[in-house]
Amino acid sequence: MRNLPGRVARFATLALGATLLSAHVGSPDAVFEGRAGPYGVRVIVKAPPVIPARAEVIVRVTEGRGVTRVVAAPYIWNGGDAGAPPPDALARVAGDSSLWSGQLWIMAPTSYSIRVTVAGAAGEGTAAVPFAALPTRVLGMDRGLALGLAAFGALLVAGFVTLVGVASSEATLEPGVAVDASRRRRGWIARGAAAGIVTALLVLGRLWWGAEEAAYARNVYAPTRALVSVGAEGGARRLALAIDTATLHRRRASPLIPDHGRMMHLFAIREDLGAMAHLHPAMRDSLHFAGALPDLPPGRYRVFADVVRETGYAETLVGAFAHDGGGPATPVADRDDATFTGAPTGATVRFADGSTLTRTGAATPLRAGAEATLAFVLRDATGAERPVEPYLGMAAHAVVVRDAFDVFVHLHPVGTASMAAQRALLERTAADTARGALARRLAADTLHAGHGMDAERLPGRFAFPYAFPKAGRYRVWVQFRIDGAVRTAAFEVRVA
Amino acid sequence: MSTTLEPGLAPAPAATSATVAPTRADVATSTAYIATVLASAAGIVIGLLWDISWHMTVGRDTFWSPPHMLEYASGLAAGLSSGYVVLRTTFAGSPGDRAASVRFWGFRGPLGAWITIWGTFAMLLSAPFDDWWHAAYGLDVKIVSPPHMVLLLGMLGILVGAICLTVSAQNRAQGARQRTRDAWMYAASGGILCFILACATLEYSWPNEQHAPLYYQVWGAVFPVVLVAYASAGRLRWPATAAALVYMGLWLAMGIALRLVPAEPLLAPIYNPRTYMWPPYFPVWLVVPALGVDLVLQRTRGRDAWLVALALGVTFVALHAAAQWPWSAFMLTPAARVPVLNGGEFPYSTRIGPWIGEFWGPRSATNGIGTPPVGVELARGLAIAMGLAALSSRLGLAWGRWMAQVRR
Repeated sequence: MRNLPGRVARFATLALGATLLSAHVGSPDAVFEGRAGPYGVRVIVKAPPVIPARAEVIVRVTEGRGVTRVVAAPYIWNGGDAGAPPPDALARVAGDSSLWSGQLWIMAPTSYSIRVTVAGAAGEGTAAVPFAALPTRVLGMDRGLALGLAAFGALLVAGFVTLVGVASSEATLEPGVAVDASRRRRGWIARGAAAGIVTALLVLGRLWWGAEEAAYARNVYAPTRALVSVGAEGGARRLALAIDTATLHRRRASPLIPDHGRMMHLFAIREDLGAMAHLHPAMRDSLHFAGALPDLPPGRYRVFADVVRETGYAETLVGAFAHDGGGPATPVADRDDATFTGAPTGATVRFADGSTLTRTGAATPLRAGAEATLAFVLRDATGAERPVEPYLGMAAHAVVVRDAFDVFVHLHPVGTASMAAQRALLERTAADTARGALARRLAADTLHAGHGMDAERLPGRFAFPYAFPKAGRYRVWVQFRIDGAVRTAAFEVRVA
Repeated sequence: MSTTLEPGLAPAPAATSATVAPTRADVATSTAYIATVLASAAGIVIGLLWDISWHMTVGRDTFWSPPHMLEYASGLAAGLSSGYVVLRTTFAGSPGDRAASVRFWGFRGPLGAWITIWGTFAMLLSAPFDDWWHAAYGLDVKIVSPPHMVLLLGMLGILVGAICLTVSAQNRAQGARQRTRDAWMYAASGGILCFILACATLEYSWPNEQHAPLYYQVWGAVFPVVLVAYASAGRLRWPATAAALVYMGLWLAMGIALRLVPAEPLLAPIYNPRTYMWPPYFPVWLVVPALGVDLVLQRTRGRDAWLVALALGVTFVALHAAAQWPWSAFMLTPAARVPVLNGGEFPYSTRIGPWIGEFWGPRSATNGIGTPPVGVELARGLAIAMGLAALSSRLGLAWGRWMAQVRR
């Protein structure tokens, strides 16, 4: 954010920061920390499990007083400003004067920018939060409801059959006249015919229901798979990644755009959580990536590879590879790549040069689904707070994995953010209708920017806003740069 | 139509049973009860068109939207009053009430009350089903879904219940005043039935579609069955005409009223920013073919049913086209874009263009909205419409024959 290229800078009042899209594994909510003009805000967009649905938006005003009104509206990625609905007013949450909440109608399973506007004594400002609205499940019907509906339905069917019988026998008799045998017989024939018709209708209804469910299921989010292989080439160990097109959702696929100057941010995590690598393989074509695999201890590794598409859809590809520890020795060559081996050592991690990274506020319990802050402070050997150098355009990065590997997210101090997604959503113009036009423009812009910034220093006190999606044990690796080198520290976080 | 059974039916053993004539003092056959169910049926169909307008204007749909509340309240009014009538007839019914009722699972009540109760239960069942459906597959994007079909069946049940109650009252009515009033209540139920069918065929019935054969085929298939049945079972001199007038009046009133209600779209994307509720366009001149149906039936008594149906089908389509062809051309002109007529009114999600003032043909990927066929193709399309209308009329004759006999 501090190194925004000029084109983004003009949106500075509209938005500063961005969030992760729901495609991050098992972590569909968007969490955003940034500015809405003169106000500091933290926005959480709770992803509904089905689309279309209403999404809950929670806004905490973290800075700025006298806020009188907070509104929000969903902007579909290709809808332009005119395509947005009038914003919905959020209501102040009782008992917390800085918290606002409300619901937005999200009608399409695609990429949105949720625009939150805060108005008050200091004026008005807007933040744009990228949000991928993706259905994540097909709901089963619980037994009680199913039995209840079936019983009720059976009653209706029996009632219908009886009605047809009565209508064709007793109903046309003069009042007071009793039903005779021939009419009774006619009534039973009519009942039989009605039962046949109802059975046929129920069969057709079942087929229809099945077709509707199948159509819905095709839209349910499932991570795109990556086929990852390790080999040697030119005296170095290489990692190659191919996107498995069989798992690529065609309607969600669009040209990739660089994020922090890289087309892919790949995280390889050993299954015992004892080792991880943060790598940036180069894009060969739209499906293939390759780069050096630095020395790592042997074992089975899970791969989470973040890419961003020009629709503003940030996606995590998932894969795995086995590494036998062999192959040519390959030191970390890319200055933004980093590896780490080891276990957490408590709330404070000590580095070789005596610097320490401490997780502050670790005593505060974390609860699933609730707003959470992972805060850290970096100190030098004397105990003084120590500044950091920008790493991939940010003060720090955090990689969060639940021990069962069902949750993965890559956090920034601005939240679960992809800067690139936000740029793509904000910079799309009517001229970008042609597929790939925006991707080329953004690539030309960012791949050549963002270097020579090492002189800059950022505070060594940083925090990551997040909402853990479920309870359990999480491993968090915090990465930052000092003295030109990337440092990694591991922490364990428990969520109740 | 006489009150005796028609020849060909098994004769009722009237001589051996003590018959009791129900009177208006009885609960189950009282005008108040029948009018309650009839008004509930009207409330349901009004709620339905209001709901369609809501979807075209506001977009956001919740269980608690005002049109839904009208529909459910009407359904409950019909169901509860019918439930009361059934319990009362079964456990404390007067001899007249009991005589004019049918047996259903050990209970007694008028046929129409049972159908109404069935409809209310179907509506009630659809609510949790629809709620689950939204939780499972998302909020409504389409109108036609399995739970909505259950809801629609329930609404139709209440409507058919109202029809049975009014027709049996008409068929039992004695004295000139009662006969006239009951015959009009029955005609009103026919108008309400036409109204719900007009809602169901709305998608094919924009004025822009009224120069294409598909429109005449859809209306030819759907409406003659109702008009013919009413024409043959109604005791008014012009029963189908009366039913068509009720439909037109109700529809016109909705078109006038909805236009007066300010509203704005709340769902994106908004291509046609509306400032008031979408009002239905001026009703189709159904009274013209209905008059023809009444006339044909008056002049063909005792003829072969299939020949009569053919005459009815040809008459219906010919008169319908004679009325709607020039009228729809007028509806596309700027002069019709005024209150009451409501020409050129489209949903918020429509991209307005010059095509809103043109006639549409069959849609295709290459042709867009297309242009209506002319010449031989048009003649063939209208001939198909007449064939469908004849089949529909034949069904109407059969249904009308049954309705003329309903006594309970």
